[in-house]
Formats: sequence, C-alpha cells, structure tokens
Amino acid sequence: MNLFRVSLRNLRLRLLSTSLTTLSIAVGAGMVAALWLLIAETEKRYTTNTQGYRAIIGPKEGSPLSLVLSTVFNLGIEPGVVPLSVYKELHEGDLARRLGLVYAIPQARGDTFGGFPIIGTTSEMFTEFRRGKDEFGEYRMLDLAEGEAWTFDHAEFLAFAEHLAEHAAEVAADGGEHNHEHEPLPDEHMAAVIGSAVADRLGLELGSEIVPVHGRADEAVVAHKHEDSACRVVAIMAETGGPLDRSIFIPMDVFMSMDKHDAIRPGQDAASDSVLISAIIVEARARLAEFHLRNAFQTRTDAQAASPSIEMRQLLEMVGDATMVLRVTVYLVLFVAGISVMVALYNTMNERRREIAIMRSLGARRHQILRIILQEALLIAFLGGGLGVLLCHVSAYFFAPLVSDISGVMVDWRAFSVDELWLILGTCVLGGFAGILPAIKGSLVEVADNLGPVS
Amino acid sequence: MIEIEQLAKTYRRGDQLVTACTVGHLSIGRGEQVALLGQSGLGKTTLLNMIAGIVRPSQVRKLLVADQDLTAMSESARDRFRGRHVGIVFQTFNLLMPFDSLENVMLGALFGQGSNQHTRERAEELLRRVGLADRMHHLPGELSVGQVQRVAMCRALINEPQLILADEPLGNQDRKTGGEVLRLLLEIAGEEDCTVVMVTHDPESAAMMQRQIDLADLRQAS
Ligand SMILES: Nc1ncnc2c1ncn2[C@@H]1O[C@H](COP(=O)(O)OP(=O)(O)O)[C@@H](O)[C@H]1O
Ligand SMILES: [Mg+2]
Repeated sequence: MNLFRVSLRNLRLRLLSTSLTTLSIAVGAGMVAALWLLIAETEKRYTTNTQGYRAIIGPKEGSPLSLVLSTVFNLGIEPGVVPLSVYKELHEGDLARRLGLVYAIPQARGDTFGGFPIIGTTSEMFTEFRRGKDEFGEYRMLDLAEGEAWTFDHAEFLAFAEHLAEHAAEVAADGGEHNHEHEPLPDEHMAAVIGSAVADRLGLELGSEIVPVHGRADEAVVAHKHEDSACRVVAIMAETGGPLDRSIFIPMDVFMSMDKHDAIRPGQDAASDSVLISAIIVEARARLAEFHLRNAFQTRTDAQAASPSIEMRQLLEMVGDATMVLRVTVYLVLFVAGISVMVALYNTMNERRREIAIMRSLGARRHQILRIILQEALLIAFLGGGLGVLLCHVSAYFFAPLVSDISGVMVDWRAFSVDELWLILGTCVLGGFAGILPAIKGSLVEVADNLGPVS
Repeated sequence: MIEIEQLAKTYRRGDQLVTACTVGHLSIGRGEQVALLGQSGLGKTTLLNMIAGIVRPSQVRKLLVADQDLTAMSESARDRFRGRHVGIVFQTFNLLMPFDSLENVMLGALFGQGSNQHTRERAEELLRRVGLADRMHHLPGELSVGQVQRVAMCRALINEPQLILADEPLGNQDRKTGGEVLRLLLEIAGEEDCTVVMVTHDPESAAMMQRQIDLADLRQAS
C-alpha cells in the first residue's frame, strides 16, 4: 500500500468522472499532437520534395511561388509558357557552363487524366532527374516499379521542335489555306509512365489506356478529350511518398501534338510558342546555383528562375502565421480540458471530506492528502496525454488519404516524434496545476468536523 | 498512559461560547480498559478527539498521552504521533470505499509505522484472528456491519498502538455479535498491553471493561 495506490483507487472509484476528464484531456492533447504532426509533415514534405529541384525556370507571368507549387506539387495552374530559346540557352549557353549544369528538363502541363496531371517531358526525367538524396547521401532517381519508360530524349525533342517551327512557318506562308497534316507520331511514343498513387486510385496497370483531357477535372465543363492522343501505360513508378506519385509523364511530342489552339495566348508568336514548355527543371553543380540563376533571370523579360527551397521557406512562414489562430484555439482546448479536470476534482472534495478525515485520523498529514489529490490530477493528465497522442495517430491513419487529397500533404501516421513526449510532459504540468486547488481544498478538510456519524 | 488536568474545549456559536467538554482531572494507567459513559452531548467524542490530538483544547493545564505532551506538539507532529501510537474506531462508516478489507487495514500501516512485509503479515493475522480470513479481499460494501467494525478494529490494532480509542464502536449492532467483537478487541489489547478507552451507552459492554468513568463526574473534579 502506498500513496500512489490510494490515488489510483480513488480514480477507479469515480470511474465515470475519471474517464470523462481523461477523455477531455485526450481530445485536447490529441488536437495539439495532430496539429504538430500536420505542421511537421507539411514542413517535411515541402522541404524534402523540393530537394530534386534546385531551380525551376518558368514564364515571367505569375509568381515564383505559383511556379514552384505547380511544378513540384501539381498545385494551382501553370502560369504560362517559356520560350524554346530559354531551353536551348540553358543547354548550350554560357550560363550552363558557368553553373555546371547537370540537367535542364522541360515539362509541359495543362492536361489531366482522372484528376491527375499529365506532364509532357523528355526521357531525362527517368535517366537524369534526382528527386532527392537518401540517408547515405546517394541520389534518389525516379525508379520504376514495373515496366519500362518510353524514350524521347533531349535531342529528339529539339528535332521535333525544329520540325514544328518549320511547319508553322509553312502554314504562315500560305496563309493557312491548305490543310497541313502532321505526320502521325510513332506508336511507341503513345506511352505514359504513371505514379504509384495514380495507378492505385484509378486502378491502372501496364497496358491500360490514358486519354488526356484538356483542362482540369474540376473544369470538366470546358474540358475536352483528346481521343486521338490516347496513351498506353508502359511503366509505373515506385512510390516516392511525394507529389510525383500523383503525376503522369508522357513524351513531349505527344503532348505538343494535341489540339492546343485554345492554349496559345493572343499576341504571342505562334511559331515559337507551339512548343509550350511550362517549366524547366534545373540541377547544377555550382554552389548557390539557384541564386546565380535567379539573379541571371532577374532583369529578363522572357523567363524567371525560382528556387523551390526559398519559396517553400517563405510559404511555410506564411502558413505559420496563418495557422496562429488555429494553434491558439487548439492550445485553448487543452487548457480548458485542464480546467475541467480541476473543476471535476474540486467538486468531489465535498463528498470526500469524510474519506479524507478518516485518513487523517489514521495519521495522514496534510501534505500527504495534498499529494494524493495532486497525483490524481497528474494521473488523469498523463493518461489523457498518452491517449491523446495515440488518438492523433489513429486518426492520422484514417484521415491521411483525405488530407493528402485536399492538401497534397501525405501524413505518415507512424511518424511518432520526441515532441509528443514533451506534449505528454506538458499535459502533466497542466494536470499538476489543475490539481493544486482541489488538493489544497482537500488538505484543509477539518478532521473532527467530518468524523461524526453520518446522519 | 493518559494524564489530564484542567482540560476544556469551547466553541464559539454566534457571540456565545459553548462548552463542548470539560475535564478537571483524569488519569488512566497503562493497559487499563476504560468505559467512558455519559449522556449524549456531554463531550465524550470531543474528549477522545483531544486525546487523539485531532482537536486542540481551548484551555489545558496538562494533556499527556503515552508520555507525550500533546499541547506542545505541532499539528503534523500530532498526526504522526496518532498514526504511530493511537488506534481509532468510530461509530459507523469506518472504512474507505475503494479498498478491500486487507487494504483498509494496510492504510492504517501506511499512515502509521509504514506499509511493509511485516505489517502486511500482521494485518492478515489480525483479520484471521477476528474471523475474516475469507473476507480479506471483500470491499466494504460486501461486508456486514459487524464485519466492517472488525476490520476497523484490526486497522486500529495494526501499528501495535499503545492506545485504542473507540467511539461507540458497536453502534446499533445486536448485543451478541457486538459483544463478541468487543471481547476480541479487549483480548488482543490485553495481550499487547494496549490501553483501551471506549465510549459506550451499553451497560453490558461497559461491564466488560475494567473501569467505568462517567464524564459528568469528571467535570468538577479537582
Ligand atoms: N465543531 C463544533 N462546533 C460547535 N459545537 C460543537 C462542535 N463539536 C461539538 N460541539 C458541541 O459540543 C457538545 C459535545 O459534543 P460531543 O463531544 O459530540 O458529545 P458526545 O460525544 O458526548 O455526544 C455538543 O453540544 C456539540 O453540539
Ligand atoms: Mg459522540
């Protein structure tokens, strides 16, 4: 028999009150833990997922942030197109040499399938692109889980662009009177490499057919299908845990051959814009290459360079400010739960006067009574805190798909963190404070007045 | 064992002083078994509470219990003293709800000489002795009134106290079982040279004690 056991038994005696107050602490602590988990996972996703993108070159229209969100996270609408000349310059120009260019991969956006973005690109996406580093500092590539990627590399892309430009010139020369049919693309180009989430959600497998829809799924009214550009799934990427899982890659030439008239913006030169590059993903060996690129493009009018890591840091700071109200609310919920523990314990003190008087008559000193009641508050807080953290992870397990659909953040329900131990410690401190008043009231119970026969 | 001179407890009710208890002189020797008699409202409970160190006297010349001067002791010192040397049995509702018989007895040890293997063995032995061998893990609600009082008795005895104070411990129990409980208490107390002061209204119970004192007779005694 010890004082701890006495506290435990008292809690068990008032099981309903104990459960309710523990639950209220659990809800409060669970909300705090969930918020922390969400913030941590958001930061983790938004920083690890930008690792492979040293810099992104995009159109001057739109903010660097929207360029990053669109290119890295498939969020928002691609701001516009980059001239082919910029792409060529990145590969052959002086700038490329100075930066020690590793790759500059074009991406074209605007079509979707089943709500997932279709991205026109070159085979460098599978052979060169580094999506980050693993724990040993080795580069992670876009690995394929099944199948084999289509091939359409940088050189082929340039040749195709050349051909398009000539064709456009011809059309312009005879005033568009004749019908200039493109030669049909080779069959093996009508291929798509899809992300693991795309395969899962849409139930696609190797050989499945993808019919690009122009526009986004949520713009279904104006969207139209490119029936003649149907692509077969030739490969499924290994899971990355990031937005790449939700992407569909097709060769640039297939993308560009689709009916694009409505995508060409008025006032732009049809010949050069028929290439329609939305963004160029750049990796370079030079230290601080992202800053050099940003400065180099600062004064230009044809394109801009954005650094995903800088943009994300700024965005996260903004998000931090925006979630202030949410954070305050959540802490308040926990605080109120602490008050409910105090009120519940305080209210039992009247009915416990005789019990306390008996213990005192047995020799219990006031500080021992104080300790027993304080321990009860601490136990409730500790149990509530632990339960809350558990609750958070259980709900993360169930709600992770929903969160990822809404925000693109994939919450890992198994991501337990040291912060959660601090949270439990924090709830214990809260419980300790909540116990002070009831404990004092209990310790002040007068023995003689409460020992008389109960009438 | 108990030496009292000029002891009084008064309470203020409104602007009136109410005397709850006065004792001119009282001396009880070691191992004595004393029945404390007197009408209701005379101050018997108040006297026991003062002897136990629960209530502080308003006026006192001498209050010695087990050679300790209670008037000179702080509240927590009196608590410790009571836990270690005094066993108390009340009239009713002695036991704590969430604990079984054995645990209730062990609570006495916890706040007394300490809960350990030795006190646990003594607790079991006492419970067996009063015939509760098969009730050790019953909660108070599962016991009869007589059984509750026997557990309370064991709890009062757990620390091998020098003094047992019992305030009408037999309450309204029927004579036969009540008498049996009392006989056991006096038997064990006698073996351990433990002083017993018991408030009772029952002449038959009082007759079982070595000495009978009417509180009314103590009031003016000099
Ligand atoms: N805390 C108290 N405040 C005021 N009066 C009290 C208090 N305790 C006892 N009394 C009064 O003191 C008197 C003696 O009480 P008590 O010792 O319980 O008598 P007994 O046990 O002999 O019946 C009673 O009149 C009672 O009302
Ligand atoms: Mg009384």
